[in-house]
Amino acid sequence: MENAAAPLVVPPDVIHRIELQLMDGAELNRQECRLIGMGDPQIKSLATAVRDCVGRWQEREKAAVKVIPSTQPGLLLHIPAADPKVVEGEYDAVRERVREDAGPGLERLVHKRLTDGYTPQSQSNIGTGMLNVLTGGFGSLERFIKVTPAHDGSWVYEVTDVLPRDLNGVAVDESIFAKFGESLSFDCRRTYLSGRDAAAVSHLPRP
Amino acid sequence: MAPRFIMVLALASFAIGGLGGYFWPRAAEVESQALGQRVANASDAGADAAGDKPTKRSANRPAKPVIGVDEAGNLVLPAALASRFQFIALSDDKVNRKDLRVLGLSEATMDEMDELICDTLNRAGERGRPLMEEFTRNADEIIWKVRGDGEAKEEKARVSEELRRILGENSSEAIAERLLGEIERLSIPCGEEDYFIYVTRSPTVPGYLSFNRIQLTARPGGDPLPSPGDSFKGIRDRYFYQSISPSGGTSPPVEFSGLLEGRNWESLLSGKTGS
Repeated sequence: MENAAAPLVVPPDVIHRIELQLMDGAELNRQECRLIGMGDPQIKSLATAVRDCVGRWQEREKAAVKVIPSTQPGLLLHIPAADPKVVEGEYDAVRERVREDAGPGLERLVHKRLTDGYTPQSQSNIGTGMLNVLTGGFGSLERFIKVTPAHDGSWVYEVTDVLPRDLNGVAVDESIFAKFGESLSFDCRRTYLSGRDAAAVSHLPRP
Repeated sequence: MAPRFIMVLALASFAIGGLGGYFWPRAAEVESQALGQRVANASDAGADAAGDKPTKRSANRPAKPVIGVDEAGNLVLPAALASRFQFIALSDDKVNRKDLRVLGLSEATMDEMDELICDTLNRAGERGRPLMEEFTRNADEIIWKVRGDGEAKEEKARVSEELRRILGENSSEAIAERLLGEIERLSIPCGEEDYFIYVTRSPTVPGYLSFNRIQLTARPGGDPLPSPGDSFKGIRDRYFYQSISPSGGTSPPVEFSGLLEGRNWESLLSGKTGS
């Protein structure tokens, strides 16, 4: 094809439309960072910030997780939203690293694909940064997890994130899982497998 | 925007570091620079440009300017990133002007594209009608089989050529490929392989129909493909099943309108069947 090498010319304000998978499991995806032209020192710095953030998030979830008594096989878990001050601190720290390591040209793109999304101050579902999604908005969302056996002997972790204000007054017990999408709106639901997606769920209790 | 001297130093550093295998879009035409990585790289570049031998520091090489910037301040995305750029090329049977404007297409170009799409759809209808035969009709579903034919390839090549002529020489392959794919999806009646048009009552919304284009392939050791008069209920479980842009409503989507004109699909709405 004669035009195969012709580049695409776009205005700078739409840079965030470039699709990137900036997380690989619980790690920064260095290959994608290289693809957009980040330098090695910057990638290293950002990867460290992401790893630290993920480590603290896992510790927080481990400490906060509560088992919801259940009559069904498997396990029901609830991880309450973290203290807004803690969440803001986490968000600000990573956001600052993105700002510095991505630099002015790439900041908007890296933010959109990595950190954008929920914080205590931003309760809209516009952003879908991969680190934000993995950590439930750095802990700003109420997280409900249903663990059931998978066909291959591993466990399915169905993670449902709910805005704290939507949870207002609803009793947190086994019945809440049937209310999602019915009488109780939720923000985001993802399914992880304990084997394949260990990075996302290995810190959580198993049945 | 970084001052010009930083840019020059950065380019000098790349020259020393070597450009092996590195893709630089239209380097001669666009004045380009690395995005981001401003200050730190400029100092690295300065050291290299001053004649230092490659040291450990250049192992920690600065960013490659994968995304360039042209004279007008626009971003120049190389092919690897161009294909990742999110935009919606078509909206129904028209180009999506909002997104294509962002990509720098002129109104005149988009007018021409709309004409191309309209012509392609009309031709698809004309070519598809004689290839279409009624397969099954019952109270809940009407099915036509549309034979594939050898002209489909030529038709696609024609549309592709015309599209590239409209886009002009400097347009990105990413835009052309995306548009071509979407036009092809709209005009599949010019398919190379047999497929079915399947109109059925919506199982969930009373008074609604579902319009679908389906390709079936027998499973190894599975059921033979359906014969005329057979119902398509449960086909997903019996065959390899591919559905192409299904759509629901009370009238056919635009890509079906030429084909279904006068075919009495309306009988499904009222519950009556007939020929």
